[in-house]
Amino acid sequence: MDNRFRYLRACAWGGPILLLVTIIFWGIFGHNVPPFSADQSADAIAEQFRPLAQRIKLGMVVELPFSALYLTWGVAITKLMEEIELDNNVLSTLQLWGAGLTTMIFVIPCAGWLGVTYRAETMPSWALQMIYDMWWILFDLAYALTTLQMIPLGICLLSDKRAVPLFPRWMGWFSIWVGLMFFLESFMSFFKGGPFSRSGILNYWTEFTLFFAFMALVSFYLLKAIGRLERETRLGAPRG
Amino acid sequence: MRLVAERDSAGQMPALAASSLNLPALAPSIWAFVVADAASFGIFFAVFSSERSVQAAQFAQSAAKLDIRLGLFNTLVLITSSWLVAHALAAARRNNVMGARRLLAGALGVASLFAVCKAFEYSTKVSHGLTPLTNEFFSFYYVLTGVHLLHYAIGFVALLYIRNSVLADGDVDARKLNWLQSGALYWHLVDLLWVFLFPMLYLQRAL
Amino acid sequence: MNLTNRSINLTFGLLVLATAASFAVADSGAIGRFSFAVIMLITAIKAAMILHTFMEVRETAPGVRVFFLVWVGGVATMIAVFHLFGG
Repeated sequence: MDNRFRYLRACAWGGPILLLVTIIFWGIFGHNVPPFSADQSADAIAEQFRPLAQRIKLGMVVELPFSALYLTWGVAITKLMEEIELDNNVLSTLQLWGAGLTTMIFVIPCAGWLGVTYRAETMPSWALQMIYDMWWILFDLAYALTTLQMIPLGICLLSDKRAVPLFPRWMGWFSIWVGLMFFLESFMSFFKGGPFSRSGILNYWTEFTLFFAFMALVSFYLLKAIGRLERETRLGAPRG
Repeated sequence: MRLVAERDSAGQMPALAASSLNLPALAPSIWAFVVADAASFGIFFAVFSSERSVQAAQFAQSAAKLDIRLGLFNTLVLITSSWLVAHALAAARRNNVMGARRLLAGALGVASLFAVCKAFEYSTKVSHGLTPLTNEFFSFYYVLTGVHLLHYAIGFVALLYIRNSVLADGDVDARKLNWLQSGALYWHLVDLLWVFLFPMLYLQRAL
Repeated sequence: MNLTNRSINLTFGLLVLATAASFAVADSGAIGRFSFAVIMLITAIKAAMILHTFMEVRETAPGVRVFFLVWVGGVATMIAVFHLFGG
C-alpha cells in the first residue's frame, strides 16, 4: 500500500532521543553543565579538565554517532513542512539544509573536544585551553546555521491554511523567536566571564534551555502531526 | 477571548465589511512572540540588576557618563512613533487606507530619528574610549541597547513592508488588518522595552 | 474595538507627561533616596498604558494579560528594589 508517511515517525523520534543523549552524555558526562569557564588561566582549566578527561571522552564518544539523529529529525520536519507549504519547497529546503549543517555543528566540536581528551595528560595547558576554546567558539557562533532551520520552519507553520493548523500558531512564532535569540551568542566571543560568556546565565543557561525547549516542543508537535496526517490519509482526506 | 485569529471551517479568515470594520478584535498570534521577547528581556533586566547590586558605585559612575538628554529624546521619539502607529491602525479599521499609509510614513519618519540619535550616541561614546569592554555597566549598556536596536530595525523594516506592499492598494481586508495589527504590536513592544531601558540605564544615577 | 482617536491621544499625552516627570525626578533628585523607586513606578504606569491602549492587551487570552501584569509589576519592582538595597 502507498504510504507517503512511511519511516517518518522513526525519523521524528531522532529528535527526542538525541535530546536525551545530549543532556546525559554531552551535558553531564561531557562536563558541559555549564562548560569550563573561559575566565581562568590555562593551568587552571587544565587542572580541572585532566581528572575528568576519561569521563568527557565517554560523553563525546556516545554523542558523536547519535548526532546523526539531528538530520533524521530534520528530514521528518521537512516532510511535514511539505504538507503545509504553498507554491514551492523553498522553506522546507532551507530547513533541511539548516538541520543538516547543524548536525555538523554537533559532530565537529564534539570530535574536537574528544581530541582534547586523547592526550590531555601530556599536552601543554595552553594547547588544551586553546583547543577547548576553539571548538566552543564554533559550537556557539555557528548559530546562524540553526537559525536557518528555525526561521523557515516558523514561517511555514504560520502559513498553514488548515482550519486547525498542524502545529499551533504560537509554535511558528516561538521557532522564529528562538532563531533570532541565537544572535545573542555573538557576544560570547567578547567576554570570558559574566552573563555573556560561554558559561554565563544568558549565553549558556538561557540560550541552551531555549534550544532544548525548541527540540522538545517541535518533537512533541511533530509526532502529533504525523499521527494526524496518517489518520487523515487513511480516512481519505484531501491532501493539504 | 481567543488568543489567535482563527479561520472558519472553510479555511477563511473572518471577512470584514468594507464600510465598517465593527468586529470583535481577535488578538493576532504574534502575541506569542511578544510574550517570549518580554520574558527574555525580563531575564536581561534581572541579570543587569543583580550585577549592579554587586558594584553599585561603578554602575552609578558609569551611568553618569551617559547623556540623559539623548535617552529622553529617544524615549519621546518612540512614544510619538507608537502614537502614530496606533492612529494608523485605527484608520485602517475604518478602511481609510490612505490615512493609514500616511500615518505609517509619519511614524517611520519620526522613528528614523531614533537610529540617528543612537548612531551619534554610540560614536561619541566610543570616541571617548567607552566601549563594550570598558566595564560591566558598559557591556550591558551596549548589549541591551544593541539588541533593542536590532528589534527596532526589524520592526522598522516590517512597518515599511506593511505600508508599501501589504497596504499598497485596494480596500482593507482581514489579511491586511492582521498584518498591520501584528506589525503595530511588535512596534509597541519595541517602545515598551525602551520604556524600561531608559530609566534602568540613563536615570539610574539618581539617588 | 476601543482604539479611538481620543483614547490614543490621551494615552500619548499622559506618556509624554510621565516621561517628563521621571526625567524631572532624576534630574532634580528632589525625592532623595526614593527617587529611583518613584521613577520605576512611573515607568510601570507608562508600560501599563502602552499595553492597555496601544497594544489592546485586554483582547488577548487571560494568560497573556496575567503574564504582563506580573511582568510590568515584577520588573519595575525588581529594578527598584535592587537599586534601593544594592551596593
